[in-house]
Amino acid sequence: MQVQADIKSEIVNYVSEKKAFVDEKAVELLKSRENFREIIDGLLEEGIFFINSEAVEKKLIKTKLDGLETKKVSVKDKGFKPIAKEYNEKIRVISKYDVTGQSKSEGKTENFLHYFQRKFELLSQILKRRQGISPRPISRVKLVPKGNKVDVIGMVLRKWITKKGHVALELEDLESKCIALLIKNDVDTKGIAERVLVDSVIAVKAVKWNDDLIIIKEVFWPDLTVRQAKHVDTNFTIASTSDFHIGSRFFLEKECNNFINWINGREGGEKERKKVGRIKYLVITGDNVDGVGIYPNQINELTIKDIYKQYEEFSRLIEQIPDYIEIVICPGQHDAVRWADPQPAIPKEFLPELNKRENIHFVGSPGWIEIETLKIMMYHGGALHDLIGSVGYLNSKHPEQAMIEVLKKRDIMSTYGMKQPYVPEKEDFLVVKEEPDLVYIGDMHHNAYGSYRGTTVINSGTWQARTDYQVKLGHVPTPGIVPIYEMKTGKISENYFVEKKGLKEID
Amino acid sequence: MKLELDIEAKPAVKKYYKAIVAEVEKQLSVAEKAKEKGLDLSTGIESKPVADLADRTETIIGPLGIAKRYRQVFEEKKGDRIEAIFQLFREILEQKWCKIEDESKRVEQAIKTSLVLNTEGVVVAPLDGVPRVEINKNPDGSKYIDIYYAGPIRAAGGTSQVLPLILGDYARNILEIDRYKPTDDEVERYVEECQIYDEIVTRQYKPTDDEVRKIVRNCTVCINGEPTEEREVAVNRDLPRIPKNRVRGGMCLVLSEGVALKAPKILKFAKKLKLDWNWLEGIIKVSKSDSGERKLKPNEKFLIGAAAGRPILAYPMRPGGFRLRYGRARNMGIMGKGIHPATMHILEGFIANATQMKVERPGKAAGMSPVDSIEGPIVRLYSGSVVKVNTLDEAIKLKPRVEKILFLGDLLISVGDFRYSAHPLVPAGYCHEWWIEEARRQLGEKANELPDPKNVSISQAIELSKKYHLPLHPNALFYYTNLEKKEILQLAKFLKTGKKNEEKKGEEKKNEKEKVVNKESEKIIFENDTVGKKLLEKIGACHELKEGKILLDLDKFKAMEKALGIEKAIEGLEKAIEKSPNVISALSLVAGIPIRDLAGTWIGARMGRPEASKPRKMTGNPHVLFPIGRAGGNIRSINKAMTSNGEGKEGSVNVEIALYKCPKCEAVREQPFCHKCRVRTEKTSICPSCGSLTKGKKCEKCGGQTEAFSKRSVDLQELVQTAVENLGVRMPNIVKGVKGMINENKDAEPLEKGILRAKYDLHIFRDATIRYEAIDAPLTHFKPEEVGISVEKARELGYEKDTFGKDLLDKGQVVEIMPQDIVINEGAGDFFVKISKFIDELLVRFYKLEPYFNAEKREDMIGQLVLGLAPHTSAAITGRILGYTKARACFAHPYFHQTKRRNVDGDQDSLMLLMDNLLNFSHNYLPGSRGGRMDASLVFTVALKPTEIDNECYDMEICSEYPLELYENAEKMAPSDSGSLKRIEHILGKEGQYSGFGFSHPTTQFDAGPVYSKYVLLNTMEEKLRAQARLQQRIEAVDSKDALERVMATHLMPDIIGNTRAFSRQNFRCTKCNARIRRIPLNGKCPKCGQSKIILTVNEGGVRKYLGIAKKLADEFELSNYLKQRLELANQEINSVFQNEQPEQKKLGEFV
Repeated sequence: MQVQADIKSEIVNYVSEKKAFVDEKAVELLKSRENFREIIDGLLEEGIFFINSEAVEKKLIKTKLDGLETKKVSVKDKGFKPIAKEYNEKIRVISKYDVTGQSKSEGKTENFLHYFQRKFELLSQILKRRQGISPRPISRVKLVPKGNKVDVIGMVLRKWITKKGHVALELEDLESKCIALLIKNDVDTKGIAERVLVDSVIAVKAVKWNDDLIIIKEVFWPDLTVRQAKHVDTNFTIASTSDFHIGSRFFLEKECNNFINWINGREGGEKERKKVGRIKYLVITGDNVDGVGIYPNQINELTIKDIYKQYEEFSRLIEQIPDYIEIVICPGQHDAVRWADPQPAIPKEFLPELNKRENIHFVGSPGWIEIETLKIMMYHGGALHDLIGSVGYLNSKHPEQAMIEVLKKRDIMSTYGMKQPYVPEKEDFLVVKEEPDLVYIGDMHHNAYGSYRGTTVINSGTWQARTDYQVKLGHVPTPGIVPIYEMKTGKISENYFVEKKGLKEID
Repeated sequence: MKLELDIEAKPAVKKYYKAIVAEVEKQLSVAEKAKEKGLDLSTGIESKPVADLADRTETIIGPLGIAKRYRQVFEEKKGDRIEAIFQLFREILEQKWCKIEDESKRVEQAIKTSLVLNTEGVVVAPLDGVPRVEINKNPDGSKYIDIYYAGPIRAAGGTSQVLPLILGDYARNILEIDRYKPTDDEVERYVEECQIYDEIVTRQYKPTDDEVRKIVRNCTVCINGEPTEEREVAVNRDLPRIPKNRVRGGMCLVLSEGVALKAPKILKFAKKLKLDWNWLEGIIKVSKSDSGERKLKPNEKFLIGAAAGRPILAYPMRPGGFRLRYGRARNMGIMGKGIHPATMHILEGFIANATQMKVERPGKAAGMSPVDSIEGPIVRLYSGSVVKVNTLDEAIKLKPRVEKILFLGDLLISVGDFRYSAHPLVPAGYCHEWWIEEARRQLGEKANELPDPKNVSISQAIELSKKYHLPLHPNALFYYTNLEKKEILQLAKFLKTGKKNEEKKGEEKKNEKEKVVNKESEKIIFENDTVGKKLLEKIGACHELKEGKILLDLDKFKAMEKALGIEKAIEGLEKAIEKSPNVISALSLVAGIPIRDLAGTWIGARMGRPEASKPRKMTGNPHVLFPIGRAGGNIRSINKAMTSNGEGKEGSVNVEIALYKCPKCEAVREQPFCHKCRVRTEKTSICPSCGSLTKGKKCEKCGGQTEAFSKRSVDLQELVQTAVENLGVRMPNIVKGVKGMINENKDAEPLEKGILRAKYDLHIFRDATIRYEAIDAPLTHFKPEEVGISVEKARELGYEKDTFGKDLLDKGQVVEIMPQDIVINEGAGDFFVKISKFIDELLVRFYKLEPYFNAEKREDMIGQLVLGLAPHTSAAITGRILGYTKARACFAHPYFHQTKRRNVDGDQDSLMLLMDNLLNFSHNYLPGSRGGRMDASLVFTVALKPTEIDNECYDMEICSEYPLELYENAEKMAPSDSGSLKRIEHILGKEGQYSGFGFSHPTTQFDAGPVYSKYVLLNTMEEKLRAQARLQQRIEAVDSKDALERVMATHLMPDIIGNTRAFSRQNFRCTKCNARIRRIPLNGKCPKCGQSKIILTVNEGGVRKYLGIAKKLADEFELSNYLKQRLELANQEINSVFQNEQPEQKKLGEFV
């Protein structure tokens, strides 16, 4: 008996070492097998991490059959030694840019007023630092003689097309308003009209026409300064993913298991595992679960209809990721936080286990972190839909371009009052106050990468297959692809976990 | 004005119509005199009386001469309207009798005229729904027909939506025009638009992308459209042949609900015109074969959109729901259905008289009427006794004691409803009218000796069955089919445990009351066995529960013994059950006599919209169409505007208003009449660029487009002063005007009209008429006493005989109603008295004529003429007030409603006083925008013609009895058009087309039962929801948890979540000037008036409004976890938006 008990605990220990689970019945089946390690490894290789009696039985039969043909079951050397495990993390959450714990809206008219005033202040400060303009208060436009040049900074209150086909903007600052025209056939400002959205804050170089009317000659956005991409002298990398949608019947469980195997060094050759071993950080940009009641009749599309159970499942998944990897998680519209931007971090009550772990960090959306001196902004992406809908050349296949547009505006908020709701917080968390080195987004279920003035934008894809709704919209997602960012070079590589394509070796 | 009367009718009806025509003529002559005074925009009457469809068409759309020609062609085609339309279409195109030079104009005219003719000249769709038809060019230079649809086409109905396409194709053939050749971009544009449209609007049917492609590529004319939606397409933009980049709603609608859904109809038309539309066959949706066994499946469709506060009454095909009974009572019409007034009351009064119900079969909605000759509900009382409720009085007495409603009773549906809905007949529950038909077939003449089929006692029933081998009479039947086979055996065993009531007899003497009861019928006594009691309840067998014993009437017991064949042993039953395919055949076998299914078909239902009867209101409740801008404040008070000096001179307002010039004093006036000189003024225009006054549409000086109005200061004080003096009345405390005029010329009404209306507290609709709204309800026969008139009055109104041809001598006799007489709510009567007083004063004080009505009380208005008008239409129908009811509806002959193109499925229409319409209506007040001419009585029909009304009602049967064949067809689920019943379509065009209607089920009082639906009586949403939840719990045929969750999911949750999200993207409002502001400006001031009193349009209260109720209900009724979690998340979301997270507090919280 004693011997048997020893074997049992050996099995359990071996399995837990591999970050997998085994149930009682399976242990009973395995205890009489000398080669239980082989069997377990084989199961793990197949992506089975909940080892139950059924799986073991199947495996035993299969091994037998395999054995009859050719002795193919080769057990690889499992000595996965990730170098990242030996390395101390350098990560910090920049909580002053995060609404979590500082939501101060009370839902009053004054909140809205202060919110827009604060936005104007922040963005006009950035604009004032720009070269080549000398803005004056709009109230002074009246005093400028006709035909003279005048620069102003304003928030767009209204935008319309005049009878003659010019685009008129009503610009306002804290005291006053004026009308600014973008002349229809002006070569210099052609194409700009489409990009100037209602509620954008811009600076214009203009010529006074009459009374409160000015003709725009040039438009300035707050924008990023022109910089070189910042690289860090480290071998370690940042992996990122997004939009798990746990609980949805479209959640790609098998592919996701492949990913877990891989990140645990149980997949691929030596080279691949070496690469995996350099992952020190993992950034997850929201829609971690599918939620409940997010859209009408969602209940019919859920395999897990309980929000707490969805998060339990999510926890189980994340817990399988090695604990030397620092994980940062922000929410999305499907998570159990408010829908409106800025979103606070997912409340602890939903993820008690993950909150106990020191390597897991929860931020809001947008949320800011610093990894190895890189300033990183995370944002799920809700506001990008309105932006994409308003600007003709943007589309949801290229979310990175929409995000670049946001960086130019230095404001995540698109036009107020459209589809995306915004909570009028006292501090404006949607203004991009610092120039980020890296921006992670999600939501569009489409892997995409871009860079602008030294800032890299990454959309980390999804683990949800194409939903009926996406079919209706004609949207084709790219599930099961995990990008890795090399901090030393700025290079991005993609890792495929979708079945057909198999693992794609990237060096 | 002289009116012609050309109708085919019985002498009494003719006499009636002569009286109507005479009265209309009388009113016309008074109105003409008033108009001649020149005080109004027009010196003639603007709402025109028309004789028939031909007349209506010529008046509404033209061309000149169509009326005469239509009558000829209609005659030639022997009354086939569609044939006549096709013929006329061709004639217009070929310019047979009218000349239109421009080819595309000609096609447009021909299509529009055909459409008006097809929609009975009532619907405005042809005017506004197909705004234009053009002939344009394909890329290869060939010509094609381009048909533009707009939003109002929605109101035209599927058939009318596609008629233009067929006609366009026909025109192509006649005029030799090429087909529409879409480019690939254009095809994809249609696909994209249909997808976007689907997100905006919910439709009956959404075609697939490939179907859209197929339709666009194959349709020979272009289905074009005006942009109607805000949304723009993203991909296929800036196509030269498609106007703008916005979504064309009319086009999308026609493509999906028209072409895709009405494909069979199109093919029918195409065949008539020998056009090839065979490509459509690939997308025909409804083509189920008629052969093969039919099985009835529960249909959940009616449950979709269940609304808060409006209970679900029965689940689809759930036993204990409504039992189908075929028939028509005198207060039913097409779609209007009947239930027992006791059922109405027992259902907490949620279903009142004329309340709408959504029903599972034959589908759609129906207005409910009380019929007391059908089965009422069966209920279980708190005492445990089960009782059938036979009368309204019993219902009122019993209701407080009702614990559970086991059966809802009968739902009386006319066969016509099944025909109209193209629903196959479904088995009816066994009823006495079916039984007597079976007896007649079996016994022939001898059947006349049978007792009154309604009142056959159980013992008589058993005897008759034994004697003649007749099926067991329904009075001796129970709902055996509600039981499974094994339950039947259980029931039999339970019945065997019963003992005769012998001991009881001894006790009798103690209680006098009981003695009486027991003498009437002996009882069988059972131990209170839960299973046994449940079985009795399931088959609807009434019994008492007393001192722990179940008491069943002896005769009921006997009936069961007979049906189950267990007078002796139950072995026979056991064997029969085993052998037989179903319960009914087993029972027939053991009983030795035919046993029929008492249940037939159970029908599910829920409450639809509540009944309604109230004055119609327009935003702001104006008394007069006179613009005062913002000077009158939010309530648009002219009194306030007169005293304000905010806009220039004291007492003046700065508004856009029409321009007139007095030929005498040369002054600029607002009205076509100069009150100083007492002469008519001249219409004038102004050039907005140079400011010079002119008469033409082009400026004489600079050639610019002129406008017939200008923005200028109007001395309101002086105008009011003149008006008050002119009328000789005091200015009322409050007279409300409007902010601005919406009509093209900005023409306003004379202030005098507003002053007099204000005196009587009467408000107007945008066409300057005063409207009363009531839900449509049917009535084909009435008793004078029901509508509150004496026999003398009835005879005076033309009712000399009752429905059986006897002289009308008693106010309780049943009389057939004249086709245009209406019975309205008493409140409507009082309202019309007020209008009549206003009109009398208007005639005397404004037009300086004699008063017309001199009415003091509502009885004085009996016999007066009104107009009925349905929304989206522009032709009214004359009605005559016959009497009043407490019910909140407008009861009238189905012909009256169908002339407005309405059946009685729970819609509400407007009523106005004819004289008000003649004196005060003007086209010029109507907005020039699309759809602006809807909802106004451009014309009114004096005497309706049954051949020219909506053909829906032609399906309605007018027989008094149903043949056995009907019930047999129903058993087989035969198509509803099989068999022969006397229907309206059989009498059309004949002398008897207006009269001689029969009805199958009598009712004591046509408007019995609750007057107000409980839904209306309860004030808050919480009360409504609670009452709904309680009622649903009480009904056996309702799954109460599911029912409540449905409401929460479709109504409360979207509201809570929607409002939370709406909060953070909301608009703002200025409390000073009421302007809507998209986003609060940075200076915090209203961009319109500069004040800083800006408020939210969605506030915390609004967001939290339903959350509390929803949470309480979810807990109380133990609803699903999913729902509770959704509510909890919503709660957290709301807190997150509205609660200030004080950092200090949070820290504290963390340590606790």
